[in-house]
Amino acid sequence: MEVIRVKNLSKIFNKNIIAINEVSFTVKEGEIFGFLGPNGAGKTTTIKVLTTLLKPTKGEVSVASFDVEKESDAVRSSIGIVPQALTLDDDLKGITNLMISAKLYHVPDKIAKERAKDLLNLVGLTDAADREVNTYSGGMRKRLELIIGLVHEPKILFLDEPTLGLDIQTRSVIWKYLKNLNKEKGLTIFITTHYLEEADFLCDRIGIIDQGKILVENSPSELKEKLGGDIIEIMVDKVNNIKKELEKQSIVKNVDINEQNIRIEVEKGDIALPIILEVCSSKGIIVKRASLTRPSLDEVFLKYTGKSLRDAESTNTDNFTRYLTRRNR
Amino acid sequence: MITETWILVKRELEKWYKVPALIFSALIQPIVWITLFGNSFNPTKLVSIDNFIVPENIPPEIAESLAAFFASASNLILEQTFQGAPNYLTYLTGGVLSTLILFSSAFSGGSVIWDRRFGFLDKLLVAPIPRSSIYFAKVFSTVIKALIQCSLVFIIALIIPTGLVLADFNIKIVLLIFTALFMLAAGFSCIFVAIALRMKKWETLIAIANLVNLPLLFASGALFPISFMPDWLQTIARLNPITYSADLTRTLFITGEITSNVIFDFQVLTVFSLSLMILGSFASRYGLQE
Repeated sequence: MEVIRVKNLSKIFNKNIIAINEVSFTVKEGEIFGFLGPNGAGKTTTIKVLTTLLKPTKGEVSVASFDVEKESDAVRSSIGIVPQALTLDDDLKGITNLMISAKLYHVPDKIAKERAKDLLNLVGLTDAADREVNTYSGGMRKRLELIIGLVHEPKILFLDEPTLGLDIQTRSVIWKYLKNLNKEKGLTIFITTHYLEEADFLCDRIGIIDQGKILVENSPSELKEKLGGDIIEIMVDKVNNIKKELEKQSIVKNVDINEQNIRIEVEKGDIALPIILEVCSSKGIIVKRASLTRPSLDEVFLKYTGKSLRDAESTNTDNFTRYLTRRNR
Repeated sequence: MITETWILVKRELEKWYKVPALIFSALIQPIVWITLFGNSFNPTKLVSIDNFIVPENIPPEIAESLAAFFASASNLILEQTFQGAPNYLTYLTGGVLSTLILFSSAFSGGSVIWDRRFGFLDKLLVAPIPRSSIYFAKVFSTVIKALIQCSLVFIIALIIPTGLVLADFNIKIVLLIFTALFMLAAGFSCIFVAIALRMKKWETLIAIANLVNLPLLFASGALFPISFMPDWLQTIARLNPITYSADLTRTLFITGEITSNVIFDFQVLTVFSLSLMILGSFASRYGLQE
């Protein structure tokens, strides 16, 4: 069943800033769907439309089979949100923040207390629950934010850059929670990120978005496969007629020889590498160096957007630097 | 709607009472009005024999009758102009309570802007609650805070020497005064919170509050009888709800009786606050949607 259906969605701000341009996609029940793209690609705007914070300029959007414009209250009841910016009330205790949210989602008091206990335990905040949020670290805040999004047991959880600015440990802890929630409770998760590892690790399917448009939508592994297989590069002392020998192997797809360097495209790099080394040594060729490269989502991104994700990021940074310099003059 | 509003009101109050400095700093201004302004600017003292140079060579009986004249003139002023108040502070306190309400309502929108800045508002906007509950929670928490502060100022005015003197004090009077102050607070915070709903900057709100606070205070009967004012200013003062709540409060302090004036003041305040509440609930529907 499709729980999110977006058809030709556009959002235009101030009549001329096109944030999202004719975007269409669907998310199935129980799926982790990732929106991958650089800053300013339209990810947050899309999430704001899906969570009823912004009205679409054009297009049809339904979430949990309710229309976001006409049945916004029903949409709101069925979703949980972990926003990009922190939305906690710093002056209140962690537990108070959690309980206010539970009450606003009409969770009965008794159930709310039980759930709060379980959820705090889940993210390791039990001891900190009675402290004011302004004493929390960034990771603790994010974990609290995460369980606040879950306290009313939503059908769909929206996460907007959930691990932005967090350290590696906290990030992998949050990934683990999300995977578990998805597996055990069948929770549908919609996540935006600009971390490739995050999309790769978590998502069943991803959509790559840039400048308000979805460029491609598929599972991370298939996207990577479409780029061709893994690449093995070796450096040898002499070439002889190794090319022919290598091409005989069924696992090898293509061989390029450039002086002493040999670039071999293979299907499964980890299995192919020992075979190739074996072939070389049987022909008396000494391999001086070997490397195995697997296509990452960055290369997928590069293929579809024409620029690597890091480049896309740095263009933004450059613009910002330029803007700052101009202002300081 | 009421449940959600109450949950949010409780949140606001919890944030407030945990910082006693906030409560007491808001009391400083009204206390300054009463103790410093009320004592130094006491108009009845202007008509005192001490303010005039009496020649030393006049006969003692004339000096005596002069003193008697000034004393009775001072009483006459209190009698005629200050509604028979036992002293100026009693007259002033009713106005100061209304002023306190104006000032705290004027800054009430600040917490909306704060919530918007820190994203808490977004969390409320994606929750399945009526938009107006967010608005009315702000309004009512402001009203509750203002009324608690009013009660504290009232007690302080009673305690200080030559302060508030009550003619009569019963539950009916207290209820009436509180209802009137409630309506004034509700009316004002309805406007100011509605203005703040669409605001992104805290500075704009401060600018607006400062722009309206003093004119509203001086163009009202809060500090002096409006009969002191030129005609044009009297007209403005008659449109100002503070004039009515100040008049109602002080008449009840001074006379202890529910006069026809008190009833009229009460009616004006009811109309004022009801119309702004209706306006506010409409504003909240549009103000919170982008």
